[in-house]
Amino acid sequence: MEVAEIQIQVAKYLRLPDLFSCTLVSRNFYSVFNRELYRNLTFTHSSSKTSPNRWYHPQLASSIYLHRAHIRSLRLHLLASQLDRLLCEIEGCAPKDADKKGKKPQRTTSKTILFPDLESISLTVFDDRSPQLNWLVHCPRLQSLNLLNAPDSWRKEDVDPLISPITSMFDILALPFWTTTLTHLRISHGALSSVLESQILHQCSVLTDLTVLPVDTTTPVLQDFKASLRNLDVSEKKAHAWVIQPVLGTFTKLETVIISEFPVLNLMSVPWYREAEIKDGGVKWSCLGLKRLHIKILEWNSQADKNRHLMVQLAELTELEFLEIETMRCDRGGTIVAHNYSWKEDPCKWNDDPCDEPLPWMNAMWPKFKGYKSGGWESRQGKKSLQQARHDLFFNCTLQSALEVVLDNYLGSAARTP
Amino acid sequence: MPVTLTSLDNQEFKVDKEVAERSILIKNMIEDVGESDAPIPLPNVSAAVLTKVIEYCEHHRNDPVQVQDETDDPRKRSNDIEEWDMKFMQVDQEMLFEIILAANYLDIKPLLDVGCKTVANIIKGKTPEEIRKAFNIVNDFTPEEEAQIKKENEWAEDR
Repeated sequence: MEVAEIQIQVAKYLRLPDLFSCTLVSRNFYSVFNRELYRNLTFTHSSSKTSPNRWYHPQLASSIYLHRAHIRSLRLHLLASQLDRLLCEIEGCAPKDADKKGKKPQRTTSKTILFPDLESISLTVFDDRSPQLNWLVHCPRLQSLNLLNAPDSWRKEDVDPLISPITSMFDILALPFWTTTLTHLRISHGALSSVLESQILHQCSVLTDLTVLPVDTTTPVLQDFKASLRNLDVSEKKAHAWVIQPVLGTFTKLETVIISEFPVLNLMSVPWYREAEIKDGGVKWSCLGLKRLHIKILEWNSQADKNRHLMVQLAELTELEFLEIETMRCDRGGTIVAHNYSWKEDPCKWNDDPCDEPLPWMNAMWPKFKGYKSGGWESRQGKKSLQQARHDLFFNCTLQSALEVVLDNYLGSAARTP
Repeated sequence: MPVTLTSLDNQEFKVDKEVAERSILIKNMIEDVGESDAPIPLPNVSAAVLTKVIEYCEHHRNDPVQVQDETDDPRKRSNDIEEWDMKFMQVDQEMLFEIILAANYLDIKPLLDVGCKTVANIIKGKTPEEIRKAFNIVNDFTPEEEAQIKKENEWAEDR
């Protein structure tokens, strides 16, 4: 590791004012820290108390234009008017406009590439006005596109996706600019179907990470990604009906799945396998290479035979490396406790908290297993503690014994030998 | 089972396998070679630095597996260093950078992280001149260059 690489690692822990100071230390420092200063830019809605609103600084637009080649990630959480003003000012710094001194900068329709190396955009528009988004198409290396919106305004049932700001984003998406670069796409609105209808997603041949919130009836379209999709997050309540579609079993490269609800009984129709054939006493399945499984809510029935299909499926995931069960909901006694949860901003994100070391039986079950995590446990008696749920109630007792029953009955004891 | 590590200056260190395997580099070497009593050469790490690295790995031998950090958050926190790690990192600057280089070479990510956080904490809140003093750096900018940089990056200055 060169000194410059240490400096880059260190820079990740520094905030803007400290990066600014570092750029003024020496030429050597400048070459590293100036690049880091512009690498990840976040501009936040002026009402935010956690992140100062820096974008109105008179020098900012020209500095961004000057150092635009360093910019890899843009996070914009703005009003539509603020976003327009920022981009207008940046575009105004392009030479052809700079020559026209004294003239108020106008948005151009030119094909100026403002962000030649931009890889990631996270865009949240806080009001109902549509921002101009033509500049998006001039980001030729875009890999990750996050189109978020404020839950309070966008979650209303009466928002019509055809007249709301996101319509503009759909227009942008309809242009085949990133079909060979876009690997991550997150859209958090039910109007996703409009994007799908635009056919653009069909052309994103390298898409590996897709987050759609929520989704109801888009399953057939998603089949187009079965050759490439590796990570799928459908962490929204309505998704569960969609997840339970045979098509999921055709995603042959899927490595990570995050699912909001995992009800046992419905699993009878969920094949994780290409050739699903569920028959009592015999299983002929081809496994998917699933490496990480994150179940947000697992509905659990105390009668082991009713969990049989889940158990068989877990046992058959021979490539499994990580298993997380965030909340287990027990229907013992017939009542399922109502549960509220919230989804996180980042797509397909695997929580970076440390995992617990695998228990011995887990290594025997899954040869490549590296760790597991669990959250809470709910029953009619209410939520119990994390530690109690983690070992005693689920992972160390219930799951192990249930898996052993399944292995003995359906796969034979030989399957337990690593 | 103990593993023997040989430093740059040919000193041998016997450590438990699970301690040595906190280093992904060593773990992979052991897996590739299989069961063997042969010492593992570490030609990029001096005995003094290896002693410190082993001390760290001994202390963290039972730490859980760290899942790869896939967060999109571009700015990380540096104020979450454990008390033991903070004391461990109270060394002179030369040793601090040697530990960081060794952690990178040996692929011990938690040690690399804590090293970089320590350096970041030295920098935080300091003026350019104070940073120069802290790391013994000479200012090689012309006054014009310094003024230009200040103008360009002023938007990021603490206000």
